[in-house]
Amino acid sequence: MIALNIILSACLTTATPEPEDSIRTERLEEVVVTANSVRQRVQNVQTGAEVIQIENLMSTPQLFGENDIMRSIQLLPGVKSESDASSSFQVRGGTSAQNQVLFDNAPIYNVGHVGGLFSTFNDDALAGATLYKGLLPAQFGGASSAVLDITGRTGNKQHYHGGATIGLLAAKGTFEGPIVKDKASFLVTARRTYMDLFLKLTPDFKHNTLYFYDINAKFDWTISQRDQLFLTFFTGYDRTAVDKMVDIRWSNLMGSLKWLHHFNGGSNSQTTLYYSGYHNDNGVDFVGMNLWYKGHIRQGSLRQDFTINFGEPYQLKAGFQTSLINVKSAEWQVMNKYGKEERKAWENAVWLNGTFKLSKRLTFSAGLRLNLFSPLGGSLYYDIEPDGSIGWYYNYKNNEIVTTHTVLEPRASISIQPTELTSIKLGYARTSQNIHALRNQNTSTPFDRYTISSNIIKPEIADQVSAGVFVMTDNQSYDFSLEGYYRKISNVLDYRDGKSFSSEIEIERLILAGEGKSYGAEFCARKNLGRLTGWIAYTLAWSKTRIDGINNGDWYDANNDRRHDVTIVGAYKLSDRWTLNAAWVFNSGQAFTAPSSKYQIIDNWIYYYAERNGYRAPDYHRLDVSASWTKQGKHVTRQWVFGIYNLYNRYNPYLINFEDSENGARTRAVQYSLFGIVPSVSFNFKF
Amino acid sequence: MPLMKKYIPLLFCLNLILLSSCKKDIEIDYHQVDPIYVVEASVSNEGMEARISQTNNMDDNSTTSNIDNAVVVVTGSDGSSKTLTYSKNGIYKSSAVGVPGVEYTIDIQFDGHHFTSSSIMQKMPKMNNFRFIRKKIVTENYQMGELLLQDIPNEENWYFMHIYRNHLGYRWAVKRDDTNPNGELQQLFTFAREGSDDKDLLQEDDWLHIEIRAIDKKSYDYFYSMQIMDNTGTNPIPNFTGGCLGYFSAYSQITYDCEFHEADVEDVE
Repeated sequence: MIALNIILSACLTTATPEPEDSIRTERLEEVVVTANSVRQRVQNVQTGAEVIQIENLMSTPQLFGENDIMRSIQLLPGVKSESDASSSFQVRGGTSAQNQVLFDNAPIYNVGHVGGLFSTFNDDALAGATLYKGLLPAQFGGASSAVLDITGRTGNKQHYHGGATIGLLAAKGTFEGPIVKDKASFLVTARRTYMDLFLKLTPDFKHNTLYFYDINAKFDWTISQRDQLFLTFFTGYDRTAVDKMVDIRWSNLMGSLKWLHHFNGGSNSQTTLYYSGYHNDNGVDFVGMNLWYKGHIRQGSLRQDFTINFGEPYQLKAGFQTSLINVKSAEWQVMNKYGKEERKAWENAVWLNGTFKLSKRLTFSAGLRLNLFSPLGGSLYYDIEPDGSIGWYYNYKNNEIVTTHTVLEPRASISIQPTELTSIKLGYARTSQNIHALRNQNTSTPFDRYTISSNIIKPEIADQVSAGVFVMTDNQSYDFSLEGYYRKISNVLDYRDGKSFSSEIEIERLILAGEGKSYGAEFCARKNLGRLTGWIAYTLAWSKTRIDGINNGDWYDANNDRRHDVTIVGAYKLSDRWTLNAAWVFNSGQAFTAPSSKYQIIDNWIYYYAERNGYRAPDYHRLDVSASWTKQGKHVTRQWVFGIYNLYNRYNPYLINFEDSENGARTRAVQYSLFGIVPSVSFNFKF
Repeated sequence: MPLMKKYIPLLFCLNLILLSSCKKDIEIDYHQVDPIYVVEASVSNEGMEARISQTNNMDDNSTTSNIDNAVVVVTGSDGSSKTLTYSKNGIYKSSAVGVPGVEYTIDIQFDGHHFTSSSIMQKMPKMNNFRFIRKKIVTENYQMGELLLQDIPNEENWYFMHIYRNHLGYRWAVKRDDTNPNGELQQLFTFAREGSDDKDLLQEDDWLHIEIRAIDKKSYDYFYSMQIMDNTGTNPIPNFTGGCLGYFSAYSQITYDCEFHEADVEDVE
């Protein structure tokens, strides 16, 4: 039902908030949509799913004057931020590289601008989103952790509307309206930073470059009572350059065409054709030393979804997807040394998911997804020896199937409602992932290397069980949830000791595979009505990894392991014009690796690391606040937003380094922080 | 408009200040672990040497954990064999020199421990030039050194470079020749930011001693993994069997000595 809501939200013609608990129905002529209501949260059969309404982003404080969907997601129970400057998120012990972020059905692989300060997604272009925390319905795959399914907003079919936002670092504009009244519409949004323009005006920084832009466009056309077409385009580009020495660029490009057809009785078919590409391109030219490095992920897919309604208690979702994938794990030139590793694959999936209301108190959902992933010839494949050297080369013909990884993925959820106000939910899901990211650090960067499952690398396969209790009060003013989960994952990859992304071009020489497990509990209490709304979320979590060849083959805390996360989010409507928002975040210390002893080699003190991730960084906490002033005129709505990130100016750990102390013996632990207090202001208007 | 233009750089500077990072020292309660043996051993064109010591706790800067009762034997694939004699401070020595192309194996035994490793002696490296340079990075000038090597022709090579400053280890790096085989190889060393109170900033008349070694691949893998260990948080790739830390390397070495004079520093683009 949640997924259906998201599909329908694509038909939204305005971002006007809907009644809290109205019932969603679908008509091509008149679309009535609601998103996540309290009742839905309690009664939905799917456990571990969070629906995010874009207008509700306003209840979280803004950084740099932006409503940021990715930062708002990081405030949900069971979801962790990677770091201060990251748009990426981690769910239930998974890494951000194990998530899949879908925008109008197409995957987006890098979700951050300026290293993650801004999210890739401009909120003006979004209608809604659903986060599945590992317990995916069968129509979703390709992620061993979570799926964030974002739907782009469509334009107004009756009237032209527009708006603009000007912040300290970026500006954006939106324009939408009918192409043919009541038949076809468009929506275009664009955003760009102007940090580079400031740089040009300062003598010391005029040779530096720092900017990003993104453009979203969506067209929809109601062909008939039964048929509707949606065309979505999205591109984002980042560039950071220091003098003529360093140049870092990355970009996303996505286009999708969707045909929605309605059958009698509320059933429908969706056919989606999309392309999505992520590219990075980094160069260094430093005192005669020249190097550049680039990589990409390209994916073209055809996806078919059927939703079949057999009347109120029964619904089936079925479909298939076929994709061609091309991943360049790296191409580099270091002086006269050139290397390139690029591989392609053919991936197919077919799924069936049924939801059955067995009685007034019992709803059951079960599904099965069959995923087949075939790496293709045209580039070299290897056998890798235990020491990481290449033992044998395989040169398959172009497009010849090297091997096929077949994974059958059962999914099931059950919801029991002892009363109208209470539900108990249980769920199980097996998920798999065939596009893998490798990183030395905990956070995503343009230097991440990607690869695909091959003759050596197996699909990551995760099994998760989850159970939860959901309770709401009579008038839905408050609701509470308590969920527990256990997740086990196999074939997780990590770098071998002493290897980094640039050690070898053949990525399989750099990695080892192992297993992981995570478990924990999430509690959330929400206040939904009144002047003061918000939520308190607490997550207790463990996340561990075991890889032969690392940490003596023993289990160790994953580098995203931290025990306690607390989030308190509040929005207070002071008057018709003023709204105040605040969010306080507390994370107990994150696991990291520190030395346990030291020794002398070549007249230098060298550290000895006795254990992987055996230490804890200092606790992280901060308070963000914002105040917005809104004046709604007859034709124009104006808004000022004043925000302060990290109000009490706490310097939180971003990086811990070990440096020389006064006696030169390298015993000084130094914590680097990214942000102190950061005020921001933005002005926006809409007409 | 002129007023606006005046404020634009100010706004930018404000942002820079707001986004500036901060660093501070933190206390770490280091875990206590049992000491581990460390071997640093070499065969070169100047002799054979091995130092055997143990790891220290993080707060222990002493260099007294030396082993003086080991039997250290180096054998070569040419049939040669030498037993190194104990000198002092855990150091065992022999005046016998290595021969390029010979694979040497070191055997160390004491108190029931047995550590072994092997390394192939490489040919003599060649240095083309060393100079002090100044490079402006955004707003700051950095003091650097540029070392140019001439690659040993027609074979795969790996190099280790070590700069001593006033007799103390200062900077080191490893390089392989795959970026310009048979040609000139460049290695840059960043010393310090000019104008800083960094103790690493070179001072007038500082004496630099540079050792350049041609090493084998196994030694290179060890040093390279040691070079990136601050980023990876992992130990260097083991070079010995038997469970000790450290390395054994057979190499040919040249040295170069110079003094630092501010007037010699060349500005580079």
